[in-house]
Amino acid sequence: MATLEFDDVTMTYGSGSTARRALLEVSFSLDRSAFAVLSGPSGAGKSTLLKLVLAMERPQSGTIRVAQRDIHRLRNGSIPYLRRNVGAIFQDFKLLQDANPLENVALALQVLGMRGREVRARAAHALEQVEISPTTKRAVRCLSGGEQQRVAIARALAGEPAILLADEPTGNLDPRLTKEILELLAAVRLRGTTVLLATHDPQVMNWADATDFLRLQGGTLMEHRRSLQGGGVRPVETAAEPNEVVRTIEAVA
Amino acid sequence: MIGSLYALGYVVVRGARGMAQAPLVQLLAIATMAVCMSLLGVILLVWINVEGITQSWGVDVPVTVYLVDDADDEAVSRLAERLEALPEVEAVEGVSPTMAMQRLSEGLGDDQNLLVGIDATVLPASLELVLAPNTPPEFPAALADRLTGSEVVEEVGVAGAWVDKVRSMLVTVQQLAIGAGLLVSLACMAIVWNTIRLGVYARRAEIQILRLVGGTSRFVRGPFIVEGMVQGTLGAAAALGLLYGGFNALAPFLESGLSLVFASGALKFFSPTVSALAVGFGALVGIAGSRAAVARYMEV
Repeated sequence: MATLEFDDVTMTYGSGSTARRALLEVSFSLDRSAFAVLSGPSGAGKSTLLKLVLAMERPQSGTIRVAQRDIHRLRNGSIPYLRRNVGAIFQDFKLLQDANPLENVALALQVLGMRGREVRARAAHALEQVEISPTTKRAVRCLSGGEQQRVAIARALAGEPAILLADEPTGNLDPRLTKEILELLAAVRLRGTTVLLATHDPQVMNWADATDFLRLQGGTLMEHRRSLQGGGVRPVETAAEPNEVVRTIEAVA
Repeated sequence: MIGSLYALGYVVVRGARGMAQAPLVQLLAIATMAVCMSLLGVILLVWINVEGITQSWGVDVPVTVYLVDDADDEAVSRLAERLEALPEVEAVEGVSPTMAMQRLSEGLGDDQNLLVGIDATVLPASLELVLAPNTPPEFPAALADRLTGSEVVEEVGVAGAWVDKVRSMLVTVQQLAIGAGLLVSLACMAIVWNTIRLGVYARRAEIQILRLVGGTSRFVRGPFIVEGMVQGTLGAAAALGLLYGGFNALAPFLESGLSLVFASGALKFFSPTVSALAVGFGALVGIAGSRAAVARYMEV
């Protein structure tokens, strides 16, 4: 069953002469427990696509369904409840700079109305998963970029969301940590979470034990291929020219 | 329900922590609120005391019918009924010599001992007439002429032209107070709103983060509203303290220097009820200011 579906989604920033198309008729679907890598150069529309899933932006046309629900029809008051089911790791981390790691991770649980002891226990567990000591009292602004990145990942995982969005989550990490984070994301998907990771780094695409590969270019989904059990890939949906899809699949296989 | 209680606990704790993180901003907001509320308070005090002067001078009683010493009670009652039946007369109140003495005593305030040993009967009994609104200005004098021949009437006191002038002056002062109060209120709202907005602006990233991790509007807004409420309450309380200190310092000076206008003890500070309402108003201004300021950054 599809957890995330895009159906002919078009998104344009601005209007008139200043209009800039970010996505054009993008369609794909991701099953529960999928681990999808969304690739493409800068400006391809990756971040926009993630923002649409979080309802930070609204598409001009098309339908986006999260767990079968059309999020375009959500009232503003319902958006927080969507976001509690969609964890997100942002390029700029979006952490409370004056708060310590535990407090940052706890935020995602406090919005759920959890009791303090449970919040601390779950937040500490999430931090341990990304190798950050839950007892550190240092403010996040005193941590390195890589450490901040991991705190952001821990916060996104803490609420055990149905979908986990990650916008360049390994951008500030060394290769060892990058691999560990990718393994962590792969493990997360085995718990039933659908992971959508946006990256422009070819290494990440190679290292990720992904089930789905999506490639955006100029706002158009050029290809969507799915890993086959026992190796290999098969195309699923594409807006690109057939020859290019075949070329890409052959190159990967 | 329990989840909501924990969320409420978080809101209060986060609000308190937010205040502790930026004490200077909080002090600035509270001081701004205190200054603005003090200005409003001064205007309100002027209003209340001008109203008091109007009453203590008896401006609201333009016709006083003084009765002869041995006036027959029945004749006085008939006269009162006849007067009350006039369309121009709104109310008639009988004032006995004892009541008159009591009023005089109250009017003297701390100087009441001047009346020690004086018998209340030296003051005449009277009927005080309150006239209906829009009564023609020539009516009191015409009524006085008619009553002068009555067997129970000793004298008719009619508030003269100077009373009209005083009344007109007091009305003007009150209108000015209303105008100034409105202007100061608007300025206060703008200043307080901007001060709170500065504090919120410094923490706009926090608002966005809370929205992105699934915080509802109420959850995100909560800590800021707690802050605004505390700022407003403390600001109003500080203003009341300032005003009380200033009032106590100035009142004796005004009462002795302007004794013609202010009898001793005539100047009044806010009652406990008005003071409590003022603190509540401060809290409301703080809440409204923070709500408006946060709303700007809620759309994520």
